[in-house]
Amino acid sequence: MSKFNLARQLALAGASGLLLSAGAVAETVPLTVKPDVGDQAPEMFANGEVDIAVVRFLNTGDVYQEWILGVQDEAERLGVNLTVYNADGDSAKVALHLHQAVATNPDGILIGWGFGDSLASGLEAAKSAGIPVVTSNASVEASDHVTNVNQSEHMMMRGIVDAFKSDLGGGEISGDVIYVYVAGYRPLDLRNEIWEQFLMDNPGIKQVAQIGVVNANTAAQTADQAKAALLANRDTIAIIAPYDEFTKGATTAILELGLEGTVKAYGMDISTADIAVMTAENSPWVATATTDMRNFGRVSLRVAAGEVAGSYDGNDLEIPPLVITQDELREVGIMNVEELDELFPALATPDLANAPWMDNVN
Amino acid sequence: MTKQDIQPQFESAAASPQSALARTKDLIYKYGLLVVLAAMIAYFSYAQPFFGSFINAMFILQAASIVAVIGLGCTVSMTVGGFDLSVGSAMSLAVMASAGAMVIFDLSGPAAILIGLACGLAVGLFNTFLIVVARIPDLVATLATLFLVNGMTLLGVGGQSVAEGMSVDGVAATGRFSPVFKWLGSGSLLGIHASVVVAGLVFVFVFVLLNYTRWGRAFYAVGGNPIAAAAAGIRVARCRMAAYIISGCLAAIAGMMLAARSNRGDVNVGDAYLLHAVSAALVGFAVLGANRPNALGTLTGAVFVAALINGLTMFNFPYYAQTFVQGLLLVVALLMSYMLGPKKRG
Repeated sequence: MSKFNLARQLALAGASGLLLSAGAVAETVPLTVKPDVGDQAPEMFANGEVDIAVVRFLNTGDVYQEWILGVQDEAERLGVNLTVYNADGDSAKVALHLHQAVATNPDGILIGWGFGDSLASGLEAAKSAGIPVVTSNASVEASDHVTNVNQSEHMMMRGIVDAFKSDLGGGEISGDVIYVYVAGYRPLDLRNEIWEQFLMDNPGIKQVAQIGVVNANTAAQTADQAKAALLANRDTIAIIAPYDEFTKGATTAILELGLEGTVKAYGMDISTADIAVMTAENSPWVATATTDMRNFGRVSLRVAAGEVAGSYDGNDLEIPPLVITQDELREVGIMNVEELDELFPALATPDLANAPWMDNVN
Repeated sequence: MTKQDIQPQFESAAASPQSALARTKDLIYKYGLLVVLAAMIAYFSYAQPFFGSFINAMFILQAASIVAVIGLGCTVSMTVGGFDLSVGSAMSLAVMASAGAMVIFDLSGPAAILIGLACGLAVGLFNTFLIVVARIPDLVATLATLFLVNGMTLLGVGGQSVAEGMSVDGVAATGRFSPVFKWLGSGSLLGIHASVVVAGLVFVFVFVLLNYTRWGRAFYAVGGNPIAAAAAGIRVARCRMAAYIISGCLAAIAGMMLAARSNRGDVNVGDAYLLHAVSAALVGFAVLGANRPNALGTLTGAVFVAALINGLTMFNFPYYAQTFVQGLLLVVALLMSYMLGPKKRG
């Protein structure tokens, strides 16, 4: 396939310009597989010659561990060699790592989380080296050389507030709620937009406290804050905690105060550890919205590989979420996220951004 | 060398006639860590040619630079027999103050740098007050400073990260990181990255201070035996004050290097650096048989860890295994210092 050979030559030579000007898109365009992409694997993939550098801003915690496992899974399927850089949540480190990754001249770069300010100069370097970049949940604008893969934060948040509303019987709902939020994190900010809208649409719902902290001990410290807030607001009926470390903290606080009969937690994300917390006896965590981080990792790597092969139009992909209730999880007797894929087929999205050749690499 | 008059007990082993075993021990003690470092670099370069390239060497030095600067500060406080737990918090404060000065208050780069340095100076003076004036033990005093300064930093920025365009009282901040300041993080001088240049200058300063000045001799004397030092006419209080001020200011410099590289100020970002800096300084004890805090050792410790992580990354070691290997390095270095070195008290 000549098209793939061209892409390969450009990538190998580190040539810029040609590859970029070919599909110059200045704004966000939904990503689709090009209609003329064939089903024969490009030679460089068939020969296992594709190197992708994975630059991670966040790496500690269930969510990030699941994500990287998915990335590794898909890399194996597509015959991609990975080099993984971990920055431990340090912006300065991720900035340096991105430059370092560019210097090794990989065929593509996949960024897992991160802030635009600290990634900007490395992205410039990648652009001039002609290396396609895919970002996964990073605060970076999509452009002609940067493709974004995100979970749909808006859809996820809408999913759990809808579940909350229907648990209250729908219609004119009312009650006191505690909300967990920290500004400045793109996914949380996006979820917050939906929350603010929800509060406006449902004037009976009163946010009596807003808590939240993001650090190495998020769950434990959120639990401490949630306890204080619950003690100060005895009429609370729910904690809306749209990030699993928040939800775990909220769940701990409710259980430790013995309030599981009256206060529910609505959370976000799912991991094996989260499943255990959610399905435990008396757990107040009643609903979660998730995209399955392992699948997210798979799709992210898939898109990075597809960009290396030049298989896509557009530069923005949103992974649709699924709302899962505690009852559903208990009903199927689930233990871990591998089973989740199987029991909730809507979570795995094998066709998303899957170019026909990807099924024929081996 | 200044060593003789201060710590003569270290010299007794060298004076006695040496058996082959003792000589080998002595060689390992002095050069073991450097040989391991050289062997590691040789192996990584052989297995992965990119590792040994000039550009990758620069990446390793860049990765080491921040830890080296803050670690050199720790080294200075350790020479006077102290221990500065507050360096990470001084670093965070300098990150937030310098980033905030530019983004929120729209000040120039040089002004932001002065403000950052002033933060380090203030933390050093506060430690001096607790340790020298109030006579609180170093560890306890600097632990209190750690929490106080971290708390102050969080209060100052309302728990938020400082980034261009951040919302301040509901309005987007218009200030930008100044190019002068950004140079610290992304500029270069004669092909050498700016942060490496800064770390190099800091190293030369601390190395000369500790090894070739009366101040340095006095620092080690105070650390060895403050009472004897005072009896010999050394102004112990002044030495400790100077050491903590240097420690605070170097932490502030490290903070600004970090802010400049990341182009933003993240909350509590300095926390992780305290332990890495201390560990670099401790690994340094085993370099050239120093068996005490020393500038060259600390620099070697920082570069060693950076090279190790860089190499392990190329071999796709998961991050949690990297922490383990780092721990192993520290243990080996400590064993070398404490088991092979001359015994301190008979």
